[in-house]
This record gives sequence, structure tokens and C-alpha cells, in this order.
Amino acid sequence: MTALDSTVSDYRILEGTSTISPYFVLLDPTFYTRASTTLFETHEVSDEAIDTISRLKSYLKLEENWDSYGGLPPRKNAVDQAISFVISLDRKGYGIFFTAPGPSGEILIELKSGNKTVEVTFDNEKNVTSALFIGDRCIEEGNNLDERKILRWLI
Amino acid sequence: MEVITNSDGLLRRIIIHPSHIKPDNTISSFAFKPRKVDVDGLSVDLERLTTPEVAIVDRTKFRLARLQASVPLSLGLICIHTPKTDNPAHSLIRGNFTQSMCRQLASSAIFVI
Repeated sequence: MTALDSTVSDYRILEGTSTISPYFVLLDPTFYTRASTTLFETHEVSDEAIDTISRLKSYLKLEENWDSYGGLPPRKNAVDQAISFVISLDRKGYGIFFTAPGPSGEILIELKSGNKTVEVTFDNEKNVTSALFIGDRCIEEGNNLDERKILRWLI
Repeated sequence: MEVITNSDGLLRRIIIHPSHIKPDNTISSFAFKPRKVDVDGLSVDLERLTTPEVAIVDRTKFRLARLQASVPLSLGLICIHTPKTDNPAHSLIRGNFTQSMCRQLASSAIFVI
């Protein structure tokens, strides 16, 4: 019996591994989540998401005053959260419109569909805020991240 | 110290790398977001006391956007001239900035360089 034929080629057994960091994606464009103790589901991360992740990682190299107005460099936990969000959206088939670092070291992830926009901000203290816009009119703004609600509203 | 009125222009540098300019060539709300630790406010230059060439500092790193003072004033923010020894045009937009306000400021600004 073939251990892994084409119908299950997206599944791999990773011996001696109990947890897999999402950062694995930076070494290999494949994202693993644990399906059982020995079986892992794989997800091919899109080239677009890989580009976005690379851009997010590049923000860690920013120095203080990077924007000429005293901007602080993002910390790793803000970038980590943003990367996880990008990967999660990519798994659902949604791309990122825009990313940017903020003046306090926060990270902006912007999603867009027509005239609807969602701005999600990850800060250095692991806080997440989101704001929903139609054009420039704010529909909702709050200190939470309900990914399902955001995507349902956006589409 | 000058009084800033609705008719004044306020200039702010917009960074190119990393970019605060979105793929559709609009300005990100983050370009008009003050630092959390900034009790002072958002730094801008009062247009009538400088020139775009001076305010931009470095054309290879920034573009320059102009915001009509009436925009922040209409949002309930305060515009105050706070000259510095190395920048007589330095001014601040003060107040309680929400994400929505930052976006409105960004969308109302236009590039001058």
C-alpha cells in the first residue's frame, strides 16, 4: 500500500515534532497545523501572502525615528500577530490590500473590497483594534478582532 | 506665535519606504496617526511659514502632503503653532485622535510634492 498517494499528498508525517511554529512558513512556503499527534494538514501559502509576510518582517529592521517624526520600530510580537492574521486570511482565500508600520510600533493590515475597507491594527502590547469603513465613513471601531464578522461584512 | 485658521495649509511628510502611500495612491491613515506617547499631538508645518522644499527635508525619503487646517478643526481637533529653533513653522494638531479621524485627515490631504 502506498503510504502517501496523490489524494493525500497534502498531508505529511513529521516525526519527533510536537508543535510547529507559524514561522516555518518563512523557511518553506507551507503552513502546518496539527491534525493529530502525528498527522499535519498542509496549506500552500500564496505568493502574495509570502510577499506580505516578507514586508512585515522587514519592518523589524526599522530604526527609531524611521518616519522623521520620532516613529518607534515595531516589536516582534506585533509583527507575529500580523503574520498570523495574514496566514489565516490567506487560508480562506483573502488577500491583503495594504500594510504599514505605525508611529508607536503598531502594524496596520488593511483589507479592501469595493468601497469597503477594514483597518486592523496590532500594537506592541498585543492589543488589536479594528475599524470598518465605507469610503471614509467609519461604520464601526473597536478593540477586538472578529475575523469571521469582518470577512462577512467585507464580502 | 501665529494663530492657525481654517484657511491655513498644514504640511506633513509622507514616508515612501516603508510606504504610507497605498497601492491606489491614497495616503494611509497611519501617516496622520500620532504616537501613543505623544501628549503633544501630530507634528505638521504651517505652510505660510515655510516652503515645500524645506518642509519635505529629503525628497528621496518622503513625499509632502498638504492638509487644509479646516479639516482637523472641523473634527474638533486643535491646531497650534509651536515653533522650534530649527523649524519656525512647526505646529501641532492636538486632540483625541480616533482611527476614523486619522483616516479623514489622510483622505483630505493632497500631495504637493
